[in-house]
Amino acid sequence: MTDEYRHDTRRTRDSRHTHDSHGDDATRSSGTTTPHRVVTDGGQPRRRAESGVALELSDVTKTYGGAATAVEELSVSIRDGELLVLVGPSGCGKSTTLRMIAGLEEPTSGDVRIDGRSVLGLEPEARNTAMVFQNYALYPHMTARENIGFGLRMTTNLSDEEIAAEVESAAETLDVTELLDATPDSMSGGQQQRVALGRAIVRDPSVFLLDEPLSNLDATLRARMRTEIQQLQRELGVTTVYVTHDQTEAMTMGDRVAVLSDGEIQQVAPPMDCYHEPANLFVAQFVGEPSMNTLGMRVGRDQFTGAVDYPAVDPLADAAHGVDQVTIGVRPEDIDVEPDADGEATTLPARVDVTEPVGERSFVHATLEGGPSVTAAVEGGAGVRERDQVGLRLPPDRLHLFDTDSGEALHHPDRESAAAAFGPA
Amino acid sequence: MTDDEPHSDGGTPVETDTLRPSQSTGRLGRLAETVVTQRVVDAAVYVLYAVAIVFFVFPALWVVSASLRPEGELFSYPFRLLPSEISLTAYQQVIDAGVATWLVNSTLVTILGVGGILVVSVPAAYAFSRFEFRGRRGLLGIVLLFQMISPVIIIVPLYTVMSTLGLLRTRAGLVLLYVGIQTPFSIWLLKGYFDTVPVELDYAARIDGCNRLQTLRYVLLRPVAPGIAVVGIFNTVLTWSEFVLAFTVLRSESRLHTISIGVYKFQGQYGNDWRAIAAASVIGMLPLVIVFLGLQRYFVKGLVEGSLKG
Repeated sequence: MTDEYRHDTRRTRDSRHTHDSHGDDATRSSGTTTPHRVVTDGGQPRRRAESGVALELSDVTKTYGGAATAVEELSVSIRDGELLVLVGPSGCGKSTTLRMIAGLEEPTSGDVRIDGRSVLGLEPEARNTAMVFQNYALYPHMTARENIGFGLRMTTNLSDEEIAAEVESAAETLDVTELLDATPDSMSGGQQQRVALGRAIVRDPSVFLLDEPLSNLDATLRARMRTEIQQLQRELGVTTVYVTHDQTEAMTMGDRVAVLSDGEIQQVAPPMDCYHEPANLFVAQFVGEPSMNTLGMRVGRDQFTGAVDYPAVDPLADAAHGVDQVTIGVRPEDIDVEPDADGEATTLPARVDVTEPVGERSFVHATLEGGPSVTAAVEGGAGVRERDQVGLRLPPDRLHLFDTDSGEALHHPDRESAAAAFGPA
Repeated sequence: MTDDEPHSDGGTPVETDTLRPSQSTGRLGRLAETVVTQRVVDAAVYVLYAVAIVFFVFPALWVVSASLRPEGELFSYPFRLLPSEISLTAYQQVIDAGVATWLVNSTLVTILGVGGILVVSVPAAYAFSRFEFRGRRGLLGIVLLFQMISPVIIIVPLYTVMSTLGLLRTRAGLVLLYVGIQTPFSIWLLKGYFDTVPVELDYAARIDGCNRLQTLRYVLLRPVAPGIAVVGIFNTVLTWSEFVLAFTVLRSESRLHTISIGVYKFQGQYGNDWRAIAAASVIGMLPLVIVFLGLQRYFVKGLVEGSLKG
């Protein structure tokens, strides 16, 4: 059903934008055939460059008024049909990046290519992207039907009947048929979001751009729409860039995640890679909930010293070779909380500040002797109480190591050992 | 009066009173006191309303009354708002003097003037609200500065300019002046309305294939319609009754004279024909009153939305 409908729109669109038809069929059809994959040195599977890359940003920079840099030399390529999540704290340049792809803003330098063709200087409409906004941005004076059909009305010479059919079809896909004659002010946030999605898919875009589409929804609805958007994206097989500040959305939705900070890409990788092998301190702390504990230390002969000391065992010592200042990173779920310090160097004495039971596990917030606070996640109940003296064991094979000055990762724990740790226990 | 104080119609005070009889009189007394205080405040407010209404409505009523009096009763003593008999001779006099022409002229000038103001200020406000361009803030400041200048102050240079351009004694000249003088304020007012419309609507429209003008036409015009109504009505009132500029530009070209000049014509060197002035004023007021009553809904809605929407 959906496929038929897509094909139909493409035919009519191609007759209007002949320049669009270049390479179009090749990229479209790849959604249904198994793509050839090659493995790049980054360890990420990639389709062959020519037809596989649907959207490519190279060295895209955006500065405002010569002073503020919103995006700096951002390069990323997105495979056909892939869902890439741009995630980062507010003001990191992710929405600006999205607007540059859409053509709402022009980059100061760099290139944006859609289906292999540079789209710089092209009007948004000619780029064949569709966008969904955080505040939905439905036209307030139009019904849902008019909202969804507006783009077709403006850019195509389809007859009223044809537009009506397209709108109905999109509405069916999103289950908003009963809402078609309602105006936005009479709809709930979730309904408006669906209509906004309908307005986006009806145009059969090459690239689907979503700017924090779920941020205005309540938690339950957000979780549901998260799944629905994923399903929709898979069904349509449309290349998607999804912007969010919510790392849960990033982790659960993306084929790959691009973590942005201060206008620069920190890491582009599948979500679990960002979690297990963060490229730097920023990613390490941004991804994961609660975020990774970090302890800044100096590299000594046989131990790392600082507010707390930790033995410099291999492979940590190896990784820290030639670096003065390191930061040890440890995920809350990798810390073992023991009733008391057993005197081992890897077990640090601490005092429990707060325990937070969150259902299947509990968070223990504690202050190490020496100052720094850490958070540990333990299965089930906490087993300890506030003001208890405990020992926190930081298993050496579960530690990440970062260069404090550059923030770059020096060492990651083995992912197998993580699987083992979580497995039978 | 604090929130936790019991109301006279609530059940709580009764319960409390039975529990603590010693306090009951004090509480009831205080309650009665608050009720009385409230009444007094209410009364004072209504008196103020009444004074304000009399202040604003009385002149209008007096004009209506004066226009209907028979000749010679105008300054009779004691003062009577209701004339002893209704006389329409003043209206006859005004009609004979050509009030129809004045009304037509005023209507034309108002429609053209307000239309011109909107044609200039709507796109300008859109641009000031949405476009990033060099000198945007400075230009906005200058626009505001022009609003500060009263046209009466620059009437002499204006006269020279109009004369040089050959626009004296023309309707076009007067309309152009109105557009020029009223546009700055209108731009500022409308920009406020455009600013309340989320910019994502523009984005969505552009992605849907609109150019800038189409975005304005199809997407933004409706959300800012209340603002356009406010600007339209405001300028209609101003343009309709404007006298100084009309008198200066139109001069002796009597076939172009507007209603405000018409009213002025009944002032003579040796005496003012108050009855005729009153009758002409009433005829001049009527169209505005009708228009306002018709559009009142939008006018009020526009003012309210302008301040609340966001």
